[in-house]
Amino acid sequence: AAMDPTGAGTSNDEFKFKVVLLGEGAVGKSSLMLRYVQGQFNPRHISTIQASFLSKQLTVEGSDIDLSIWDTAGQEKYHALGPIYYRGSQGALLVYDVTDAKSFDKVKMWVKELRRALGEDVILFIVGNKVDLADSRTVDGEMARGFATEVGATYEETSAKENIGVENLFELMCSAMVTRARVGPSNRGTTNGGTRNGRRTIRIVDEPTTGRKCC
Amino acid sequence: MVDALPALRSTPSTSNGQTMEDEDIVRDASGSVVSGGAESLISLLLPSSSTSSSSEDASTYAFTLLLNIRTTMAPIDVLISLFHQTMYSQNSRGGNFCREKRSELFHTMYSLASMWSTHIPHDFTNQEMIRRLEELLQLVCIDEEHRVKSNQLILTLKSTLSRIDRYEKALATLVVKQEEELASSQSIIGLFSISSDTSLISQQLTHIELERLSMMALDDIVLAISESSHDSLLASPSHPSVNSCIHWFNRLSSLVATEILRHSRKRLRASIIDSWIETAKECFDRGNFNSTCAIVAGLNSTPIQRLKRTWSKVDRAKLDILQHQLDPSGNFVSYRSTMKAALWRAEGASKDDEKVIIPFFGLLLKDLFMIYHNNPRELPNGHLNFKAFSLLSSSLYPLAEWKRRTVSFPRHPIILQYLLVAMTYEEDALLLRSFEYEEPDTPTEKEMHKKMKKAS
Repeated sequence: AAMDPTGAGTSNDEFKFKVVLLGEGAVGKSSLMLRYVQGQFNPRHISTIQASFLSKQLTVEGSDIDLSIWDTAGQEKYHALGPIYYRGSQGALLVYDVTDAKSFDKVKMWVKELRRALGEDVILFIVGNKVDLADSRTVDGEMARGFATEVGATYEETSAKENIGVENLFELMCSAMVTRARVGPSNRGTTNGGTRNGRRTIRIVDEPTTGRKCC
Repeated sequence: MVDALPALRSTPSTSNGQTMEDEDIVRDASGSVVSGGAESLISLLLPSSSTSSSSEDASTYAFTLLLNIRTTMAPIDVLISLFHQTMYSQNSRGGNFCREKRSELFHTMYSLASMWSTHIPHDFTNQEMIRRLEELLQLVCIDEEHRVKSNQLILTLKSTLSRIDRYEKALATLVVKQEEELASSQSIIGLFSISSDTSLISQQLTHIELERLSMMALDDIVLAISESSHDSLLASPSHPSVNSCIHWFNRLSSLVATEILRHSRKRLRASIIDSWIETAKECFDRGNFNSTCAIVAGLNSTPIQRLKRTWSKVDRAKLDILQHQLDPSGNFVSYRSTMKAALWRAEGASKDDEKVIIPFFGLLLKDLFMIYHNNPRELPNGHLNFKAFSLLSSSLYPLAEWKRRTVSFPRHPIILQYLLVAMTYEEDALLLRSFEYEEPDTPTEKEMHKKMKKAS
């Protein structure tokens, strides 16, 4: 989407957001991403390897958004890689499998790590995936929602397989990031503020800016 | 074109059974296999009357099939099927009794056995597999020369297996030195007190990486990515070579942070950071991308990142270049183009040391994972999707080459030992130490610090 240089347009906010998908292996991170991709794009245009990284232009609440989603599937045991992925992110989707209690514990670990590294400025979504498998569910939705509220995260449930809640999830994430960016970065976080680039546009830059150590 | 090739292949097209492979194999316009039933795909490992396939094609085909088929069929069953099909082929046609045909059969089977035992030796850790392989080679031997070659192959395989065994035992005995608490020193201690020569340290890191790479089992990788839908973040014992590589990466990254936080003086911490950046750059220049990435990840860890006063004493320009190389943006577009350049350089290199390529294994694993899980392995008609197999093996083939590269620079036992077994600390301990050196300065950090102090 072109930027309006005169600032005369009515809705020319322009944002660049980065969202990272984290969670244990097999919780369906890639499926969520692929489901979103398939719903939004022609998958023929995406090679397999590119499917782990998605960049998309969309409009949410009158703002033009350049959204990149980073999937960490296949690298779950590389806990040292976390910072390389999440630094500079405005949002994180922490995915667990509702039939696997252990995967929810991993989400708790991620919350702790992300709050430490990115402070309060990162928008956290806790996502219970595979709700289609209601019969073998072992993680209680209300408990998970309660935990999310406690740590300042939003709770959503999805089924990538049955395409339940997937598009909604990404839309909610985008609109939460837009709201946060319009308010401006809080001074509470350790990193991750957006930079204003003059005119009337606000741009969140995910490239390393001088003086800040993010990747 | 599509019709021409099967016709060329099925010489005795009238006999029953013999053309099964042709009916159960789908090829594309260029004659490459697209899909097929398991038995038919195995039958293509036997010599064919086709003149179009070079020995290189045959070897690529065999590599692809043997590496991939394990996700649906155990290696032992592949070998048994191969044995039966070979026996059948020997007896099915009078023409196959002639010396020329029998010699061709031997050479095909010998090349196959050689490729299998070189690139996927772990399959033979099972005694039954060795016995079956010997049986197959005996079946196709026609003279003394063949027997000598076959025996030699089995001996080489056995020595490879004992090397693997020794390596795995050695890995298991690597016990990390335990210290009570993270020492805090006013003078230089740890790795860079042994040597401040970052080039020497990068050489030793490259030795460690190359050793792990050379022992990397390709079959392990295939099983690791296929099963990752079931296993957790806990190391799964079934793929030791993959896990040891991941473990090493996490360890190096944590060692980087530990070494920095061993020093209570800001100036020394900054100097250790400088040394790590320099080491990472040296690794990068040597084609050791895995160590580079692990070091950069360690420098990015929260306990290190937050040391603002320490970082103010560091020249960041070099780190920024490395950060950019490993930036995940555009699905690691910078790294991928650097890799292309490195491959190009390695190809033209005259010295062994310049041919070394140690890929960032984490990214390779992720790419392979994506290829594996985003392409159906089996098609609705029951065929195995050979196109998907090829996609996966073509990404593994370079690794089979890189595994075999060697370096000429010497090993430094003391540094190697330190890198492998020196104590590293959990992030909590590191973060607590980091707060001691530089006070928490945001409300989030202050709250975190309070909680951590309470807990400890």
